[in-house]
Amino acid sequence: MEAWQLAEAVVLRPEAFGGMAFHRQRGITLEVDAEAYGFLCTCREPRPLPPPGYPAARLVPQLARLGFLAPAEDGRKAEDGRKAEDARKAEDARKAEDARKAEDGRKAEDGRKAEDARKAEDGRKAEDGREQVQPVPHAPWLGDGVTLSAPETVHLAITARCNLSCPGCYVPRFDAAPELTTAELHGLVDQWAQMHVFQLAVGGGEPLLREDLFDVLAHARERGIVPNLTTNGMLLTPDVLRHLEWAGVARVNLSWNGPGGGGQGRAVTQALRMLLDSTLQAGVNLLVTPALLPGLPRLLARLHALGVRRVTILRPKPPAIPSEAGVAWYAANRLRRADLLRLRTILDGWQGVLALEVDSALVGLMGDAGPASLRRRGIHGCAAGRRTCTVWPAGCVTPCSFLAGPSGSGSSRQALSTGNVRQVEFAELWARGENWNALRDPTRQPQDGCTGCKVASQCGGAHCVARYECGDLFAGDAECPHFGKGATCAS
Amino acid sequence: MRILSVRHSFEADHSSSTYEFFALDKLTPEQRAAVQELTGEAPRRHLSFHYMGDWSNIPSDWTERLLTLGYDVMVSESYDWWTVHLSLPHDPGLAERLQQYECESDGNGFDLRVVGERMILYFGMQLDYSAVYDAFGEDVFEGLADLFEAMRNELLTGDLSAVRATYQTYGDYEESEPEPVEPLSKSARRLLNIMENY
Repeated sequence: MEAWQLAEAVVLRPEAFGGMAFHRQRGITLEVDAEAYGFLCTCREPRPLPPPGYPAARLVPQLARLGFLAPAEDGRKAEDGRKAEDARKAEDARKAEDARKAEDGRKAEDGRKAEDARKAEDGRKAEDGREQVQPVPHAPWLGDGVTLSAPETVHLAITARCNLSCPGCYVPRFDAAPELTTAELHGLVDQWAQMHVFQLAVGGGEPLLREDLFDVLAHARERGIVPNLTTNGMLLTPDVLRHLEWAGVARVNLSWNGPGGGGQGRAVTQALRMLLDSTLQAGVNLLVTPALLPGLPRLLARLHALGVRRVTILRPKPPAIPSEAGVAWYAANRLRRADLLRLRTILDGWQGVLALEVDSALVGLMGDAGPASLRRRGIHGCAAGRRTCTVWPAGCVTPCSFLAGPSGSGSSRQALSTGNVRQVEFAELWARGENWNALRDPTRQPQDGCTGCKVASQCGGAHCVARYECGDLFAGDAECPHFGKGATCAS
Repeated sequence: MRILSVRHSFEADHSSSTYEFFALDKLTPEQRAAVQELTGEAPRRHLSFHYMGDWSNIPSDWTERLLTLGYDVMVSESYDWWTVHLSLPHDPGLAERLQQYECESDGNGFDLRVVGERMILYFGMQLDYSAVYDAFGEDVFEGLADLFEAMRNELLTGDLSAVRATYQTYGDYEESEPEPVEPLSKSARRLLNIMENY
């Protein structure tokens, strides 16, 4: 305990309130005040334990328990081991990639070279007439305390293509432009790495349909971003899982549609077994509809019997771009207040058995925990456009997968795309946040029905539901069990 | 210098909340039946819950119900924040004195609620782990439970040292307390030594 050092797997990032630290192996995110951030920065080099009585001396044991600080000597040994392991993985990855490329004959690399050549020739125009991304000289933006300097996690819908036709799919077909190329995705990953984005959540469509998926995931890992994947599981094979392992994917979540959902059939069980047998961290995403609710306890029991440990509960949300089919599906599958109360009871019964997570639109159900408890756990409710964002297959950037196009009335008539990464650098899109002012306004609080709710400041309701129902992101979530009785859009 | 929040993402099962209930006297058959009905199990002296992931709270009314059904001390840890509840017989005079020390600082502090014939005292705190390990070793739950059991006995005799120590750490303490200052008990001094206000 003589000298301490920041663990190799930790990445630091300054923020307006102080800073953030992310542990790439443990998946832990810390928010710390300015003094603690300064202390963490000094720990990049080995340093002796601060004398007793100094505030930092009290912080060290807590940081050590979380794995952010390690005894300096052990840290060096671990680093040597990691470097050897990384070198081995990189070699394996190269071999596997070569084999894969030879096998399927794809020309991703050639395409990249050709594109680089084009860029070198013409610094202003890229293919199909789009403006080439221009490097924007700017000082790193530190955020404003409400909006972070960079997303913690970028949700990348890497393709809109899918091998299933789930009726409640959120992927809007609003952009018919070609998907981002491998080279463009590599460039984006490089930008995110520069901004210290912590995690990449790759989904689709079905991401495994994207031919260069492993290449993009591996590039993210090489650049220090932790890649995670959501898949419907239909294309999982032992070989695919091995590729995901060497690409450095941390967690794979399998979307389980439940009985009769989307044509997954029995194959999903087989896929789940394969996933659970791999070294990847496995989870299951469950979209809970009123129809699924009565059978949810049985389904959770089945998943538990299969060996599933982590389940993420998702709530049906309004379509990002209202279409006739999407609106009809949402009307039939939305969870009403009574459904949400029933869901909470079911989830309470599974505590201690499964590691349960809920999506941000269900944070209201955790209201009993109290605001301080939610704040300490880093649970911020809907963080769209402030802490996370979605990049769509053709490069459009929106606050989340469910806040995209014009929705209905009031402010929701405005599309929420802040631009396209093909035209503007991602860092500039994020800092500018065009069309996201309402989401980022620090003075905005949920209205009316949320008044009196003790976690209103941490939750704020599901913005996409409020916008869909009332045309206002901050109108409150009228379906939340805590929402004031009788409160409506009009009130 | 403080950590504002800790979030566990892709290792959700490594994040957890733990609740430990302790009864000083064995639960009666009637109390055990009521606890059994509520939680599905009813040990006589020690009831424990360990939850993983974000969804890691016992139902909101369980704490108060269990503390009125025979358990006297509850120690809970969630993401490095600690909570201790004490259950005492309702004494209006003592309650009035205790309420002078109610305080809150970022969820830490002291609070009192009267539930039927019981008073439920809430202590929220963060801990200085180096001091905690010196005081209790590895078993922090047991150590805290023993410490608060001792202070519960002091409270029953009218010694408010436990809440005074909490007030000194998390209250609006500027060299003065609501009541004339007397030396803190030995237990309260131990508590004062391990409580942290970042």
